[in-house]
Amino acid sequence: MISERPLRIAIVGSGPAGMYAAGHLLEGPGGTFINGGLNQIVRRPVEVDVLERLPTPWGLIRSGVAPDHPDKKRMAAIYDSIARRQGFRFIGNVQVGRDVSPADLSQWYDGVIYAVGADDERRLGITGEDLRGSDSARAFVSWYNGHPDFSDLQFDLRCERAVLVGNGNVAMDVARILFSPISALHNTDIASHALDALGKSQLKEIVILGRRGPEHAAFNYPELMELGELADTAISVEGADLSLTPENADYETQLKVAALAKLCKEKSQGSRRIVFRFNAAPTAIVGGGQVAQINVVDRRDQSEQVLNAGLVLAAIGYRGLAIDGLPFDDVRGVIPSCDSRIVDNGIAIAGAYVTGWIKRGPKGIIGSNKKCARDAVTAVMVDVDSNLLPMEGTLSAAQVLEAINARVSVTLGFSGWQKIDRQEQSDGRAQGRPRLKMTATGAMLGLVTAG
Amino acid sequence: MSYVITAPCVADYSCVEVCPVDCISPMPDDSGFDAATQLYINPVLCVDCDACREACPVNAIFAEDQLPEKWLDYIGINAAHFQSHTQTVAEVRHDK
Amino acid sequence: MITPIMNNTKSSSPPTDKKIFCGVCESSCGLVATIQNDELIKLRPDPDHPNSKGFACSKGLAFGAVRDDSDRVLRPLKRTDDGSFVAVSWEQALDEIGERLNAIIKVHGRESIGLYQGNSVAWNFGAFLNLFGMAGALKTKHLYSAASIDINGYWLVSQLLYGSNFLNPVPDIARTDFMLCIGANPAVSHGSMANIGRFRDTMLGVTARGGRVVVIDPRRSETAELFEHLPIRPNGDAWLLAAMLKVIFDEGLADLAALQRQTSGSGIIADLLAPVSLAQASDAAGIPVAEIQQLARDFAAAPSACAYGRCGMSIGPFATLSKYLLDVLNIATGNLDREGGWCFARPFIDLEALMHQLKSTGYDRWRTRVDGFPEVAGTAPVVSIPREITTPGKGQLRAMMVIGANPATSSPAAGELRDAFKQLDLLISQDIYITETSRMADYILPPTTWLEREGFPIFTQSHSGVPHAQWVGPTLKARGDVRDDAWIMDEISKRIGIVPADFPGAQLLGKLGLRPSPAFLMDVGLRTGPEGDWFGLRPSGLSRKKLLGNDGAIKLADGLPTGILKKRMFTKDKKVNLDHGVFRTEMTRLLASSFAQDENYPLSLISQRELRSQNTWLHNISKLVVADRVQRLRIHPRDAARYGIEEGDPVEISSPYGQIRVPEARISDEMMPGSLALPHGWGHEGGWQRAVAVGGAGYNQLTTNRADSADLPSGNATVNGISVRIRSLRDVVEMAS
Ligand SMILES: Cc1cc2nc3c(=O)[nH]c(=O)nc-3n(C[C@H](O)[C@H](O)[C@H](O)COP(=O)(O)OP(=O)(O)OC[C@H]3O[C@@H](n4cnc5c(N)ncnc54)[C@H](O)[C@@H]3O)c2cc1C
Ligand code: SF4
Ligand code: SF4
Ligand code: SF4
Repeated sequence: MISERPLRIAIVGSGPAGMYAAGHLLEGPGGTFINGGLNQIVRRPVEVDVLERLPTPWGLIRSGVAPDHPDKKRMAAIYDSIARRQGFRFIGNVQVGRDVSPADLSQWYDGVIYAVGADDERRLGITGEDLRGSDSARAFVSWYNGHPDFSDLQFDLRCERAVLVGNGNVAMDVARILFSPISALHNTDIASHALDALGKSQLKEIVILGRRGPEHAAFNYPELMELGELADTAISVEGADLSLTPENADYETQLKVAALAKLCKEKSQGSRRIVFRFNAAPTAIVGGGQVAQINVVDRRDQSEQVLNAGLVLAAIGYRGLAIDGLPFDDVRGVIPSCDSRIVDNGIAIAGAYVTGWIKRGPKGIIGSNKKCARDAVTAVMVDVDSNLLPMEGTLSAAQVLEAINARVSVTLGFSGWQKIDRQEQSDGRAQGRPRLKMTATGAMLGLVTAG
Repeated sequence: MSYVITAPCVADYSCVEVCPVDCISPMPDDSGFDAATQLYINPVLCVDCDACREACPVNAIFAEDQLPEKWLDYIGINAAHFQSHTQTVAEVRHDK
Repeated sequence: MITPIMNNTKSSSPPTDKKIFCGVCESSCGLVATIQNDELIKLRPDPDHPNSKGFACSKGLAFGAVRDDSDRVLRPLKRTDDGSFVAVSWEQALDEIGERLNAIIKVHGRESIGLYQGNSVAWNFGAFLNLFGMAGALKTKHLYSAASIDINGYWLVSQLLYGSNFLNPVPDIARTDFMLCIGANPAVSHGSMANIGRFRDTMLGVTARGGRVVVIDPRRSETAELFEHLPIRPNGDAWLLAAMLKVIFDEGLADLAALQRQTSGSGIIADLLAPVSLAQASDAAGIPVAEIQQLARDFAAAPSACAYGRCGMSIGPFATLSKYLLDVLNIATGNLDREGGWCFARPFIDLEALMHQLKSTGYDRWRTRVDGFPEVAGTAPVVSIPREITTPGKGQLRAMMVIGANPATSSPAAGELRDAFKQLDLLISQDIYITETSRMADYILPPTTWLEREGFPIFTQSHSGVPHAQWVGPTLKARGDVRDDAWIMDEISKRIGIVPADFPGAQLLGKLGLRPSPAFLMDVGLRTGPEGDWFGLRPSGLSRKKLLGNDGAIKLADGLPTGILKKRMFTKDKKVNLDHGVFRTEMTRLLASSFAQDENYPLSLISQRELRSQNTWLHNISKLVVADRVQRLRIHPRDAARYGIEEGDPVEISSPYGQIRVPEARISDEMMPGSLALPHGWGHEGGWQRAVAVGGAGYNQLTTNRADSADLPSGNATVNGISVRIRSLRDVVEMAS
């Protein structure tokens, strides 16, 4: 029966999907946009705990979105605002699957929404992939964004050519960051270790490999156009004839291909070069310990070519990571679900939901997760109304914190994060930068516990 | 005039929530939403009320007369979105 | 996709369109209502409206949701002893009110009955006429208007300069070469005291033509973002204007011929300016002397120029003087009554003349009982209400009818007003919601909204940049058992034996059973006025019937008329009368005033209008409160650092008069250092559930109603430039959680 106490929901992961789920559960007075209009979808008080494995929230807004996109980083303000709502609690530095189990959570809460994103990557599956100088674009992005798990990586950019495998937006971000003037990056919140390494860069050329033709290029128009804004950088295309774009291609494709052709024409000169190489697949990465070259096959005529390169980054996709105690679809790299309800062999697990990239795969942009989270919250509310949630034995907010603290030596609340946030901003100000990211978990926790 | 959505758009549809004439597409429950790389404003239906610009968390929306130079092409990009959805707009202006 | 929302469930009549106008703000935009089976399907801007030309904003277009709001009061409510409300019939409510009023009148006289007019009455001609009519018939001095927290200085200056409170020049932005915009944010407000359609675009037209727009505001407002911005210290406007005039006269830039031709008493200007020092003015305004000089020279040199000012200068301690100096600036540069200057509009119903004939206009014909404020257009200032209630004696305020207003939130020292209201013998509220004010009332009498009653833009037609005429019948049936404000007031009037009209013979006619309706009176005014059909003598002229039969607004001219000064003046000599003692007194008061910031309250707080809000209205509508709508205090980074405020912190603001907690700080260099901006009209209570849930705090807990704090000649409350201090409540809130 509907009890008087607030519904208690745990959300695992504080990226966009998790924060939007919190926002929808703690619904604002304006209601929720659904089926073309604003409607109230939550009709009872809710308390939300957001559990995050890092001390810092916001997922890929912090560790994925490029540092030179400050406008998009402003999304954090929206999540801040959600975090200030009555009923919200952040518990940082708790990893579900390691520190606490899904079984614990389902006992402690009325419902659990998993929004853990895609903490893994797709691999090339070719030889030489593990050589020094070969890594995933995900690692590179996480490194330049100061993600604590990647801060110890070393990227040696004192080589002439980098090859990016894959031509999606992540590859565009990486190429742009690699070729951005240090002075411009100084004005972003890029991690200082990355700033140092980029300062030593000797890269002259970036080759971006795409398996298919330009009409199938994965990048979007704005990200492409930003490459055009790089000074002293020529842009060219190999392995395809841009004038041959199929007439029946959709508008966005035509726009992209036309824009690329225009860039090639307008940006033919420059001491540095970005080469879009289409219909090209890597077959092997070669080198003695350190990457020296990458072998590429032209998929039109199967001809082989060898590109000398000191850095190879595979930008072929993020991928979900299984969580101990929850089902996992190893083929798609997601937690299997039906209408946001986690299913194990076709049977829904009561009170367990999923949203964001771990539900849909690494597709869609920040706002796609808002709708996705809305649907998950709608599912929770439908199940509450149908008495499908396991509401017996739910712990109070205080009891949950006690239980977590019994297993994790240091956790932090939202004010702990705000302390880190303020420290980063004031450290940044001292150097004339918007923010100086802390990149080590230990240091962050030290700051928080320092009283 | 009209309002125009530009590159920084993250498709969080705050603008859709506040638009008084429902002229921003795709809406979250439209089929094209999940794959959308940004949202678009229908220049024929927009009434220049400014509500979306104020609501946009990433400053992606501009009144056409205030568009930064580098994003002038988004006038056409917004309009074209509706041109390819001919059932909604018969005629799209090209006044760039 | 964009599929029109069709109401398929009822298959009867097809949808029809009706052209109406919006009654939310002074833009009075033309709208098209699509109606089916008496349901509003949608509201859209009217592309053919001569003034608004296809513009409308999200407030007006969302108004259907107000009409259909489930929180609306749909039948008369009576308060019970435990404070809750019960629904009663109109008959019962009105009879009981009549009895109670009669009892009060018997003991305390008619002059103990008060009336309070809210902003919304400006789109409600019936209520407007009946209000003035009731006050006149009761011979009460307790007629209060929200204008005295807003614009009283305007009424006063117009009366003295032009001979009628309601004759207010408007800026001819469509043709000007130089617009000086002081303390107004038309990109958000869509204009006030100037009914300029597509206000923002019209302003952009100035710069597109090669002209200039300079925005004076402590905050880099949405309007300032579009044009040149000159930050000014809150309440520095009078100083700036005086200094500009000083430069203009000292440097021989004034148009003396125009002064000679158009005005009398212009000698006062030299007297007023003599003691003004540019250095002192520069200090007070926070604008360097050289910039003031340049601005003055540029303004004077422009082929045509108009200085327009609004809240930033009309709700401060020198509101009257500021408005006076603003008009003098326009006049002394030869811009009065000329193209691109400061012009008189062409209303289709000459309200100014009507009010003049009804002797409703005036200034200082009497003084208020307790504070001795001069009357302005027959009204007393809102600041005095609590003292008028609590001070015993003849004429003590014992009963109050509040019409379309929420003074418990919108009036200065709102807390004191609430306490005073509790001491009334009877409080009646005509309101569509249970608000902070109406929840205190003994009776809530629910009126129609503008979608449900006949109307014409009685107030804004007097300020229209493109003269036009429009009169529309009710768009939708009244919901539930709600009635027009005018009807309610008339019914109450009947029960206390008056006719709510103040023209000679009205009460006599009433005894004969004749009660001319407001529509009839206005129609007579229209038909005998400059655009009228003179009852058939001029067939091309207008009448109510003709306008009601016309779908949409009729354009009367392309733009503001010019060269009509003599025709429009109500002064005896048909000239602008510049010399009045009150302006001399005010200048002396300004020069003696201290503009140093109190060290205990080192910051200056200004109020702010937001795009999807209208004072205290409209906070109960989903569309207008969705998408991260939180009341935020804007503060400059320097001040934030100095006072330990972080982005998003809850903030406590204290003034000498009160303290509030604002949910969030927003740090932004849009603010001038030393000044803070806070949206007003928040912090709701009562039955409008969404508005209550939105939270926020009442700006007017910080303001004062002290008589000596007001703009003395007009009694207008000082609600801008409030001295405050702030502190972050971050740690307090954290400890609590
Ligand atoms: C490089 C890159 C650039 C991008 N740029 C843009 C852009 O410019 N614009 C745009 O709109 N979109 C962009 N995106 C897409 C956008 O970032 C994603 O759509 C969005 O972040 C997905 O949200 P999510 O919440 O599902 O996952 P995430 O953002 O990954 O959030 C998951 C959170 O869960 C936490 N977590 C994971 N496992 C656990 C666990 N076991 N226990 C507790 N917590 C856990 C993680 O630490 C993380 O904080 C970009 C993506 C990438 C990869
Ligand atoms: S509000 Fe801004 S970011 Fe969000 S969908 Fe609209 S334009 Fe895009
Ligand atoms: S300006 Fe107004 S009408 Fe136009 S898209 Fe934005 S919200 Fe909609
Ligand atoms: S600008 Fe004013 S009059 Fe016009 S639609 Fe908006 S609220 Fe109504």
